[in-house]
Amino acid sequence: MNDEFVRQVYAASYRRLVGQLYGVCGDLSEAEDVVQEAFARAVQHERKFRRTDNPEAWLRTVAVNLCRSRWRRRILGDRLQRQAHRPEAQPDLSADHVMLMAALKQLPEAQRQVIALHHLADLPVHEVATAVGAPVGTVKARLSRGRAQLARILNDREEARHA
Amino acid sequence: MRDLDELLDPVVSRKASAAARTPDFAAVERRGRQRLRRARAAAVGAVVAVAAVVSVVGAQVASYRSDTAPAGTIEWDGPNGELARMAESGNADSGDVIVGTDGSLLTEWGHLGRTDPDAEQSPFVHGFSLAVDGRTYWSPLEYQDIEVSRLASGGFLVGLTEKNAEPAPLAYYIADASGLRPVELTDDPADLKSGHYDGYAWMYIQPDPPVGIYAIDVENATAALVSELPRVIPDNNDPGSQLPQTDDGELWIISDQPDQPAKLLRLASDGRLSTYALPAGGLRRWPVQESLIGLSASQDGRPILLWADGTLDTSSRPVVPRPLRVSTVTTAGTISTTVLGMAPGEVRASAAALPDGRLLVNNGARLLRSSTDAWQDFETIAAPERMPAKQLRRSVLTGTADSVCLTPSPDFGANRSGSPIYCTVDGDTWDPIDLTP
Repeated sequence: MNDEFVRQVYAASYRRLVGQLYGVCGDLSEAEDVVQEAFARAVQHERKFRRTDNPEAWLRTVAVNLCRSRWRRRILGDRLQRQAHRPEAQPDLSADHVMLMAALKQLPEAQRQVIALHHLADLPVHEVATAVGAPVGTVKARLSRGRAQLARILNDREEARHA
Repeated sequence: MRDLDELLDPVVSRKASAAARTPDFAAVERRGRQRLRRARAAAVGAVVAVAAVVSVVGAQVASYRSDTAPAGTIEWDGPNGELARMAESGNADSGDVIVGTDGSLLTEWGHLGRTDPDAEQSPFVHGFSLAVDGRTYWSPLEYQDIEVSRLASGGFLVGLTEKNAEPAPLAYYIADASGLRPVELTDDPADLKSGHYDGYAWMYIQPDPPVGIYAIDVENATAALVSELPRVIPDNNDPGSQLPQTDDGELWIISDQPDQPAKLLRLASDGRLSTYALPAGGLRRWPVQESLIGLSASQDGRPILLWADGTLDTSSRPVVPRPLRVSTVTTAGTISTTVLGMAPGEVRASAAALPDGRLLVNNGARLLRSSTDAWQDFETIAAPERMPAKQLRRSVLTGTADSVCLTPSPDFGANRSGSPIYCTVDGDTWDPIDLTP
């Protein structure tokens, strides 16, 4: 099997994809895992992977889908509870960004995904649409609603902090 | 705090990229090749399976495609449907296979999508097949996610997340020969004293409560929240995980709520709740000295808890063998524990009780059987003929109403289609189960 192509993409894109998925998954370890799994599937479907016009977009779509599937199960909190017992790598974020990430987790899944991919991962709207499997117009609507909701959540948190 | 536009800054992703741990590509490559081997083996098995299904069941398609199905029922997709064809051509991978308490088998399948993965449609779709009463039924191949709960009555509750639906809903169905009947959620809590429920499932329901244990009425296709178990989270934290339950209506479960010691709970068929303290060591923690690695129930109503000493961190080498223990609740209401000897380092143990009450344990290297139904003294018994040690390590024991089955577990790195299922009534002889009718 010739995995050299996948290896090259791995070297070039792995870290960037983990960064992009961090906001989607809300957890760095989870982001690492879904991106690694996406590369494993690229190895599995190497010929198909080579034929894609944009391998990174292929991997991102797979990883977003994996994260989406896992999020629903992870929402229960127990996993986070367990993870609190093990040391994990964390990005060095400011206090404001930590609060932002916490607020993002309160958004509906579809809104969180597009906010994370567009604003935090800096992807254009059409690439976000590809990654989440939704039309561009739908992504724009989610971005609008998500931003409004996020602003409300952050305001509430800020008021609670001052109170 | 800064305003939202300033906060929504790509610096978050850049910092996450910088903090990401990058494993060697060889590890990812191994993972991918393992998936590939599994898929190829699945293709070989699936060709055999589908060929038999088509030949035996093909003429009977009409018998289970009902024209009078109630609204919302999803009909089976027939042996010539998309999933069956994908499995036949090797383009669908088999995943988990769940043995029902009545011996029926539900197998999950995944397929890399119909369109290019970089198109708008998400690339992975899932379906499943149900082998029951000598027939195999194929679901449509159109779901984003599938979760399966085995019910005490022998049926299955299946949670299906639609593909590309907005919002993507999770809907629950009773899966049986007639098709997939949608489950209606009742407003009233479960009336456990009525004793008419067919089993329990941990279901994810929106919006409130988000998750809970529900009692399932198969005949009426309804689910009612079990108010006796508020906020109980099964230890393995996964909707669709198998809740240990017996056919006379008892449920055993670990309560692992934040800031409370983990407890073992027994919900009797009349709704009475009993609580038992777990042995010292508690649940799987990081790091731990003792880990609960399995919870199941015997058909005579006892819980089967498997424990392994030491951390489950398998990244440290060398991996050393660890003591394995089994616990249950005695008739006096206390937890008793028996040492089972050493298990291989990567502890993959499982246990199930035979119809006569004796306990079978797969410690990952050998099969053990208790001499009596007291689960005190154990002897090594022979594995199924021609089963290599590697496959034994990757198989789990599951109890049914009248047998115990050894099922390859994808969670343990096994491939279902390349590995037959074996069942026994006494542990002396094992019968391979042909997954085809």
